[in-house]
Amino acid sequence: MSVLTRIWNGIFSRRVDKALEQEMETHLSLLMEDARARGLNDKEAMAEARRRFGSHARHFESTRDADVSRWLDELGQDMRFALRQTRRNSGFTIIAVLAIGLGIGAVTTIFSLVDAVLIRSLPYSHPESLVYLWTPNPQAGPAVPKELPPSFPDFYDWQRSSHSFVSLATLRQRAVNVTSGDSVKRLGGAFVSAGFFETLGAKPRLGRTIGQADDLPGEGNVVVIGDAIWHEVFSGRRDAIGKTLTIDRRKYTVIGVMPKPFGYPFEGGIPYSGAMGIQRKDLWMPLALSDVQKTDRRAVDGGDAVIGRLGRGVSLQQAQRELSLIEKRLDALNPPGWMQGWQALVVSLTDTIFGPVTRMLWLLMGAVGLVLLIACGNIGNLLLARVTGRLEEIAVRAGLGAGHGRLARQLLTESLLLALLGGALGIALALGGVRALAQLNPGNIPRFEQTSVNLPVDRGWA
Amino acid sequence: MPKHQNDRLQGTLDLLILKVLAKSKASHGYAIAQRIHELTQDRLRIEEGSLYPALHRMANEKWLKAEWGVTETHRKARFYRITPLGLKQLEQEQDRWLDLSDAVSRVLKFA
Repeated sequence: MSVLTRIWNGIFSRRVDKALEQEMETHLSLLMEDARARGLNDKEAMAEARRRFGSHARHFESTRDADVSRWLDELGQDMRFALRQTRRNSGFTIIAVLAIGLGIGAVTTIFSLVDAVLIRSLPYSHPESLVYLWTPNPQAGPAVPKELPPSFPDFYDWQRSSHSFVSLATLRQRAVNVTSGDSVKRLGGAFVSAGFFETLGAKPRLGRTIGQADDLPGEGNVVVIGDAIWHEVFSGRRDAIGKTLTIDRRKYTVIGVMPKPFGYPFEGGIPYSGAMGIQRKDLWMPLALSDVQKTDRRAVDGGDAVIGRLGRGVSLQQAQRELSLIEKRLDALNPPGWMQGWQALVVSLTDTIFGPVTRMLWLLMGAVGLVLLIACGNIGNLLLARVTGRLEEIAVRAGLGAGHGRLARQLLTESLLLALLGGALGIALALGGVRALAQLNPGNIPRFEQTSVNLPVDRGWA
Repeated sequence: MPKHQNDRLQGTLDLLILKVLAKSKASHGYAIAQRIHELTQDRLRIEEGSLYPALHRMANEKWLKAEWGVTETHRKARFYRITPLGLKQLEQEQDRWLDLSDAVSRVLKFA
């Protein structure tokens, strides 16, 4: 057989098999016809035809491969053999499974972290257009950070006169005491200006969020609650809306429930602002400032941060330029004698929250990815070395009639078994790794504590 | 091409097929098998299934030419025809067989 024909048949072996199969079938049915003509019944004719045709198991093997039940049967055989093989070469198996397991475990652990911190962390729409607005003051000296929160008058002036933003909001975070029945709980709360939820693009899972009408003095006794409290206090009932919650001895009416991932501002979400060790917020109430509070520059009062959403097509630089101009005008309004020289600073919210950790996390991800790659390379080498030692066995199998495909499948099944064992070990290691990681929480990576091995692809927090 | 030389049994089947086809026009596998049974008066037991791998191999060697056709009982079948190359092969195989059987009968007679 020429090399070309061999290659041709290799590529079109299915077709050749089909032709062969068809010819053989014709032959068998002709044999049966012949037998029936000699007076045999169907069963006898079939037996006779089979006998005369002889055992051509080897040839039929390749055509029967299409048969799924047979395929599964052989997979079972291969699996059992692979298991025996694995037990016999326990040294090799242990090394291979350990290598894969460690690789997968490391990658899964770090990916879980990346997933919690960077991927799942921002349940807001288009987080890239979210910004923090600060008022740095160079006269305060180099020790004072640039991220100084703007005063309330500045914020309301910006809201009135800037055009770069779709919406702006200011907020102040506080730890509050929530009374339900006899128990008192200390929880993270945030007093926010109307437009807070709109700015973040966060929708409630139930009810509504805080609107203009709520953010008025005397009207501020409404609260939007987080998923955890909703379950804890109201056992996740839909009629929680309209119920009363006592917060710091004042009665608040529940108007909305936020979905589980929403907990802004997280610990570390606002730089240089003490979050009082409370990692996420579970309550949002209106700031409800009076007109005096909004305009009195002598009071030197402000929130913890101002967030904004850039208008469509507005760049950070454009917003910065506009805000700098406005702030220059506003700085002159500050009472004489008080510190002057306030400026405006617009920075991306995601950069502020993740800036320092993003690169580090991706670097870590890359590093463990390489570890897995090296592990795979090593196992590839080990397997190759082992096959060289098994050439004899393979030759015997081939001699006994195993086809190329069949041999390849046998070896692949063994590799598959190794991969499954390694994967199982990897997941176990990752579960432990994530727990160990939690002990290492440095405290300044937002949502670090929410790291978990994420089994389902979609958690559906929308 | 002469890789079947040592394989007597296979060579024999090839020889029989070639011989049958040399004496007839195009035939399908079943007809070839029946013809062999007839000629050997059923004394050679061939598994008829083994014919097909042989036929395919010989077609690959260009000793035979295969074509799809319809049998007298209106079945789709492949018809095989011997080629000039096949005739040459037949001559060689026949000589070799006669040599061998001659040699073996000499041994049996005089040893």
